[in-house]
Amino acid sequence: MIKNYLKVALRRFRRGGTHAAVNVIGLSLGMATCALIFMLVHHEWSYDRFHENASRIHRVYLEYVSPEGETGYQAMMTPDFTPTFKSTFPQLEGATRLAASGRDFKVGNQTTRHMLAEVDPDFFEMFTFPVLAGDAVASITDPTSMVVTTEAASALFDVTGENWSQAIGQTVTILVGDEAYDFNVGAVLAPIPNNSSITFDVAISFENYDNIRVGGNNWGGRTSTYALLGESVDPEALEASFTSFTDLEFGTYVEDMRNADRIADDGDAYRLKLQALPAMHSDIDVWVPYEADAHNPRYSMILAAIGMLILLIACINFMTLSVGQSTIRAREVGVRKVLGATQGQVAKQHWGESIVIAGVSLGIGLLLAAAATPAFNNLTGTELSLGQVSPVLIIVAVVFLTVVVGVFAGAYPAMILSRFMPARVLKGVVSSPRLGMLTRALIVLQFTISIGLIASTGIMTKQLGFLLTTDLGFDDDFVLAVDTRQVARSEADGVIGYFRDQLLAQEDIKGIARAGTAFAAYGSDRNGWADASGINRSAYNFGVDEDWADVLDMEIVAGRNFDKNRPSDATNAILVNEALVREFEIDDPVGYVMTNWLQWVYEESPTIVGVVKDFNYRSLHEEVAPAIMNMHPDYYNYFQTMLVKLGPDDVAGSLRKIEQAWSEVLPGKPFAYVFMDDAFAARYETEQRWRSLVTYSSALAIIIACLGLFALAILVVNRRTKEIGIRKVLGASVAGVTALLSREFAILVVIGSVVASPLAYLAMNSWLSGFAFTVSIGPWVFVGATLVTLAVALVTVGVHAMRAARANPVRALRYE
Amino acid sequence: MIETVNLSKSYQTDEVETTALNDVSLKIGSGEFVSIMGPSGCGKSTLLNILGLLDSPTSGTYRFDGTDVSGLSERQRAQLRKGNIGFVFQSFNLIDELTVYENVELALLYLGVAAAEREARVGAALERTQIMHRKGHFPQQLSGGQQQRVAVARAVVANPGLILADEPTGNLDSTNGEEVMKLLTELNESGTTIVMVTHSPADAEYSHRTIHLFDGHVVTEKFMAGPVV
Repeated sequence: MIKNYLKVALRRFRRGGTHAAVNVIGLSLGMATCALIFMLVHHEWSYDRFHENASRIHRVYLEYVSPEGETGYQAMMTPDFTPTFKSTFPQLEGATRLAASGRDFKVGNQTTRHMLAEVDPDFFEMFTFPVLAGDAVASITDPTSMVVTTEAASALFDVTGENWSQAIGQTVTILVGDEAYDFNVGAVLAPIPNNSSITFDVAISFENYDNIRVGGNNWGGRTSTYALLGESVDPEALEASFTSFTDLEFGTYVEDMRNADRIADDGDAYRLKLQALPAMHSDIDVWVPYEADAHNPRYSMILAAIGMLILLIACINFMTLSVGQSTIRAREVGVRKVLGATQGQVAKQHWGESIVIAGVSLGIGLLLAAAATPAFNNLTGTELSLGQVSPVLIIVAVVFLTVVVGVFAGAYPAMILSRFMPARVLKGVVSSPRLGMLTRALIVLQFTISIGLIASTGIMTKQLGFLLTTDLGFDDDFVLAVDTRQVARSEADGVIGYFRDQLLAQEDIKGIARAGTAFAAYGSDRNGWADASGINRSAYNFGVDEDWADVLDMEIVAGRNFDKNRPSDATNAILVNEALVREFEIDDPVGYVMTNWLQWVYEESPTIVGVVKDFNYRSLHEEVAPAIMNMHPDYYNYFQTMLVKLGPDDVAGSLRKIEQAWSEVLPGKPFAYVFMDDAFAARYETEQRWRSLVTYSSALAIIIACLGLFALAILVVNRRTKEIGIRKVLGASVAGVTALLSREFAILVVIGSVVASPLAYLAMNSWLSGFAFTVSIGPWVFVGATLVTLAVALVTVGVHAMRAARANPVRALRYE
Repeated sequence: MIETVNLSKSYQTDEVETTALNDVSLKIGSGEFVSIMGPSGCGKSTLLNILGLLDSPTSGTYRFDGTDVSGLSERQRAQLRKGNIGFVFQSFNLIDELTVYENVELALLYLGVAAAEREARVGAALERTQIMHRKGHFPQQLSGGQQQRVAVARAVVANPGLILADEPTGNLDSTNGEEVMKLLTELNESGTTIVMVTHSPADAEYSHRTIHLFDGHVVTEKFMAGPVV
């Protein structure tokens, strides 16, 4: 009997032409989308689960409540915390500190930059980072030994594939400012998986921390801590036993934080917490600067929902086409029932058919997904492949999707057709030439989804355009930011002097400035200062020089710029931005003396000499925050980048000149740079990815929906052939008949738009609330989305309608 | 074989109740060949569907082979139908995706007949209706008369005691129609009971008895020559 079902299904499929193709193409596209999104969601979910001890390893952090009742999190502890923590609690099998940042590594004459991590000996016993050569645990116990990943090994020693062991014993020098420290390679690790929060290229013992300070120097030496709990230890019970230890360890810190009004004056306002490794990636509140960015799981959910919506559109095609063809299928059902088939048997047959079609579509979909993976990776900024998902999970997902989609899509024919009374269908009961209510409702749903996605695309595009073109308050066009973090502090003035001498005479080099940050690249730094009423507030610090404001075309709205003729500006003058004047409530800023909250670089409190017009140095997600520009030679971000303003005519030529000068003054050091506007654009990378994802999704949605419409239009037009003939005999024009046939679909699109618009408005409003500066959502984007959809739908339907309308009415009338 | 007492059927559509059958009582014996005639809409097809267990009456009793079947569920009716009643329709109702052979075989599939026996019986049925030579063709490749012969083969392949034919010649020209009527006569002669709805007095001539329906009532019964119960 199954053979008979298959025969009917296959032959119908072969003869079905358009409908079969629409069903399979639509479902395949939907399945491919789901497979790609599944891959991404699975990747997000899989973070840090590859460690054998994943569920027992916990990140340690302090949770506190501010006087305003907001919860804050601090995972960065002072380095002496971890050893005390480990020795206090015997429930811990191990604990390790981790601090990491980019450092310069020298082998022979070659210097390359890699991510350097400093860890305790327990690190490699707790975490699962497979060792390819040497002994990682022993290496970390030895303060002069280092562990490198294969990537670092190939960059440092030019070793590959089978001969990782050749790296063992080689000497590598780590450069820290003017100092150099030698290490021997003790182990080579497999590449760090792309779903690891903890990433590094080279690891050395934490005992080097005093000499080689990693993890950034902005927060006065802090590290993150990870603890391995014993097999039977309950993390919550352990957390509960932390109280007195926390009071002891964090007493001073909490006192400081309370004085700064950051922690509430309540005994319960802070507690030490444990977070299991797999939970880290989805927690965007607990922040460790050198861990891979945590991702809000909401994004995964939205993506999964988009994938489901697209699949839903394809399933709806399947349903509406089944409804449309039900007259044809009804006869088969009738015959089978006459021959003794029960309702259950007929239902099973149709469900079986739709499950097989779903399975075939999923197969094609998986092939499509595999083919589209590189493009998808490009789009999402990931490096994923289906191979990374476990085969068992794939099989489970495949079976699940096939059955769910098959059962859902086949629900109409299985449940409704099987209920047909054979007596009536076999008599050839003529079905209504109009679309049924169910079909209409389903089409409206399809267009609601399509129009919603298109409108969202429109709003996202508008907002991104706004972000990328809005006036930032300074001019970053043609400003090159050269990475100078590898220049030793003692060489800084000499180096910048050399560039000035060599380049400023050139026609195409408009200006050169020394800076602590290029805003979107090369670091940022914040510090506490007293406001007018003596309350501690934070302000961003920017190391600059006298030319900085000119190179970036900043406007000084009060006072003056730094002055080369006043050497004392370096040690006791600062510039501030308007936001600082406003938020610190300083009435007369020029000449005002700022008090630094904690001991900082200034021996005397510096004086404000000028106020810079507000400029957006972060992303437009945020309002402009208070900022202080300093020239102090002891400021640690004294020379992180060199800003060079280029002429617009020969950028490549200018770049060559700068690189030439670089190789003269800093031979052997890598020349790295970004254009400031590119770096700013990169701040909106997430938004751009989302825009692309939603754009492609909406394109897919409308393509699949219109495929369905196309096939449905054939059915409707065929069914109304007689009506068309009669109308033409009575004098209807081609245009009139086309309009008549298209109107029905146009109405559905418009209803879809009415439903979609408020939904898209709400969704986009919530997306826009993540920005401090936004475009307004006007009605035009919804009108536009509706018109686009309407146009595509009408063309789709119109092609058939026109053909039917042009046909000779005599033929149409003879047809019945 | 068939006995109905005060059989009535009414349809409720859009607040209008239409009575298709009104107190129809009749008896059809085993081996009879009965025609049902009457103008369009007189309830002929409704009666035939009820007799064929495709539909159930609103009231009245229907005994099929001595069993009261008027209260059976759809499932029970399907069970009783298969193997006992064969159908022939005006519009043939063959499945387009199946070949001649497969269309006929379908009836045996639902009976759960084993493959080897199926082949023998389908072959025999096709021989009997003289359509064996087209067994690999699809319905669209056949003429109307040929399609109806396939439909007759499908109706008899399970050896049912009763064949119900609903205007079997309605879509055929006179030559083909005659062939189908001869086929039905042969079946009747070999013992199968046949009840046929028809518009054509010529076709009715083939039967032993003609029942005239008008507005859901039996108006007259006319006996022809031939074997009587």
